Amino acid sequence: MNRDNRKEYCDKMLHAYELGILSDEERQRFESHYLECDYCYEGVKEFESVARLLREDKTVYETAKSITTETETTSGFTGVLSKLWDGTRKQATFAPLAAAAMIVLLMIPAYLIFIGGQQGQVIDLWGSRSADDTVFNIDPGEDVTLEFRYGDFTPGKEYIIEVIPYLRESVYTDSNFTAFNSHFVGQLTLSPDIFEDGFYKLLLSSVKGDPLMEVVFEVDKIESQE
Amino acid sequence: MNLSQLCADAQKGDKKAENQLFTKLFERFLPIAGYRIRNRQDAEEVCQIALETILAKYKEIEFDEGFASWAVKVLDFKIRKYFDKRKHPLQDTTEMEGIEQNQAGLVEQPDFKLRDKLLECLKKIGKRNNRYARIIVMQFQGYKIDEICEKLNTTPNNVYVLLSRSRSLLKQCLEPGDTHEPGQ
Ligand SMILES: [Zn+2]
Repeated sequence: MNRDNRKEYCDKMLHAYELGILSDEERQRFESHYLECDYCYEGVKEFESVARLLREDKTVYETAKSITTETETTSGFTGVLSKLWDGTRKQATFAPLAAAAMIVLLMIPAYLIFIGGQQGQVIDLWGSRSADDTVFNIDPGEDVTLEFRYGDFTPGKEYIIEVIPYLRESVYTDSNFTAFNSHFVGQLTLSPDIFEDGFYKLLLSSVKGDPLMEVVFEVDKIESQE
Repeated sequence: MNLSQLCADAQKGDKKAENQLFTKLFERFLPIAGYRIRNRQDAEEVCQIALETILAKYKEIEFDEGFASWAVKVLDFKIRKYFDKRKHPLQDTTEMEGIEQNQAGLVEQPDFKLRDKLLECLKKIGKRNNRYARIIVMQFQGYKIDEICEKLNTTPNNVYVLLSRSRSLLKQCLEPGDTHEPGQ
């Protein structure tokens, strides 16, 4: 790489690295370069606090989201987890579950959960983190698919998946769950009959029972369209 | 002097070069570990553990893709091990035992002044270039470069260029006393 090409590479990769969007391979390539490159080292150091806010701060997410939603259609439901971040629900009846969800959220990097597709009756469990005040409406005449992302899944490995209503026993358990696609998206299709109005937790654990991730969402059953 | 040269000299027994090598490595490892491990103290300790491994092995190893690449892999492995220990506390990860693993409980407070300014800049830049705002949203949602390109219907190169430009605007906007309106 000559000097100009090198500078071009540095400028191009720096922000992508800071935002954590590089693939593992590309990230390692950049990091090897960065170890030897004073320009990138100074850049990374200088922008460290800003980059951290861009990657982790909820208000940054909300601001960026509000800019994009000015021109885009938003998804049809929103949810509860941002309330947990704000602490509004945390004070109320939801406290124990909220506290548990908070702990797990802090333990799970943001990349583990993301928005899936919006086809059919899908509960998109990243979307539930994205805004306030809306619950997910379930049509009692249609199956419900919960979509979530777990970035550390191992293809072919089995997991335990549970759907647990707030303060009650689980209403669904599958101890051999393997339904992840290549984008780390898990899909769990359930009968609408298991749901009533209220809060639910989706819990993914290893077969040994170690909890790996959980997401909380709120359900409101609507009148059947049929 | 660059890392490879320092490493070559240190391998030949030059103590001064070895010192410089490890000082430089520690300095440069920190931001890498700090990106993935939010607790600074934990990040420092993981770097220290990685450096111990490098120190123990660097004289005997033949590097396929150069010293820097190998060193980054060692650090990456130690960071993964740190997270493994958090997920599976009973697993044997002896070398990680000294680390308190504060991450779940102790998250540093953001710099609120910087954050306010950043939000202001983000609005300015994002409103003129919606794609930057979309990328920020998508990175929060866990999307990586390939998926982002798919969503934006563009190439990685275009995304990198857009990010590079947005970063310059952001930097300009964040500079003290800025009244600059970022252009397209
Ligand atoms: Zn560079």
